[in-house]
Amino acid sequence: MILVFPAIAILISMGIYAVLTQKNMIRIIIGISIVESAIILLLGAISYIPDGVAPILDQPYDTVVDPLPQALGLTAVVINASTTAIMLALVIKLYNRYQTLDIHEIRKLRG
Amino acid sequence: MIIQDILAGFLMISGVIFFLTTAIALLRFPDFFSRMHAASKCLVGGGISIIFGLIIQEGISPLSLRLLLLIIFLLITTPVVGHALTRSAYQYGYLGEMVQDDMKDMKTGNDSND
Amino acid sequence: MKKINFDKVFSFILVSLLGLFIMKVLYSVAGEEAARFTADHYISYGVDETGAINIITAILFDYRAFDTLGEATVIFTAASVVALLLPRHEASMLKTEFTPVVQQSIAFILPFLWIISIFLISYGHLSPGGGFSGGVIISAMSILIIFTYGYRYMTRRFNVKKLSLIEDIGALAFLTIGLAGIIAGGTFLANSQVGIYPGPPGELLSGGLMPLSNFAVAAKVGTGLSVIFLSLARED
Repeated sequence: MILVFPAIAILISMGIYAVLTQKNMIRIIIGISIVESAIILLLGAISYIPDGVAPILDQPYDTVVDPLPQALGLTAVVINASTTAIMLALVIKLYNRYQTLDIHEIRKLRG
Repeated sequence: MIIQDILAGFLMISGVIFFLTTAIALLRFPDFFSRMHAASKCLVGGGISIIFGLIIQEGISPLSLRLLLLIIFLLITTPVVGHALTRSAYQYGYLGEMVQDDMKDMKTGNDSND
Repeated sequence: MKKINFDKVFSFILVSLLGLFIMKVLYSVAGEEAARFTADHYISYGVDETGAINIITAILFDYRAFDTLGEATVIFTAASVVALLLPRHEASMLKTEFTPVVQQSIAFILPFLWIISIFLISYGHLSPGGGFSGGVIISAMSILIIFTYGYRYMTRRFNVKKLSLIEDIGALAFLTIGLAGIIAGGTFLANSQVGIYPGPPGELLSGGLMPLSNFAVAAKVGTGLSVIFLSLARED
């Protein structure tokens, strides 16, 4: 529980660092995906309580983890897939137009 | 009971060591094929020994039957994944430095029925 | 001597500060006793109110079904955008011809994937799973078929039009299930609040309209992601 929070912070920072410094568009998409994965990890971590079982109540349990962030995590996964697909489609379109994946070169070509 | 725990722990730790060596190999190896060589060992060795550890800890139950099925599917799919990835990498030309190229003759010819 | 890239150094400092800030916020949030009354309500009364054992499915398709409708709309929008953006040329996707080893083993795997997806969908209110997970496995099947047997083999059986038709049918089925709540005298997508019989908890036919909505969402998600991948896979 305590160690998860630095991992989440490091993952988010890594993803944003990749977005800021990389030139290849595919690598930028990978950075955004890392941030999204870190947010799903965060949703899992804040729903956790010690000794909690998964919220499938086939018999009455004493301590159950919070089911609401897990439902939100499902939403997040779906939206991640959709945004990644749209980003990849835009990259394919840009590559067909400019024949390069480097964003600096694309910016230069636009003038 | 203690023997069960020790055996399960040993298998799980060996699986984790498999994964660790694979991660180091992916970072350290020079070209695609040697990395692929290490990565296809990862699931077969590491995953299966971790699942075996879980089965031993669980005992005989419906859950361990499902884990056994998981092992069977891992054994079927993982070599196929390695085969397909290396083959398509070869045909796309990620060759690197090679000592010997056994597939040079098959590269241009029709090799769909070998 | 190597030249220092000031952009990278500046980004690194900025990102480290951001990481420290996020960590501080997370620790201060975790230190407090978080308000768990919604969770307590779901856990204490969820099974009695909705008839579903899996509380996450109960949240997704009963308490917050309207959110799920929006979520399904996101996939629909993404599929439409991807299909709009990418060119409509049909061509073989890969230069690689896979060997019979790959084709036979994929043919061996596919029926098991179909069984597990149907299991996940129809037992979504009883065990881990649900419409979204089952739909994702269905779309994984279509991805495997495209990769192994080629784009043409897939489009001969299921082209984008047919898949979009199934997706529309799924969306319309979900909306129709939502109308049942209004007909029974409640709000849109109301399920158990308006007295639709939830059934005995733990049985396959329980949870009111939840299995039906699971199937509708699974059809929508599976075909939507398949359409996205089919559009991404074609190249000119």
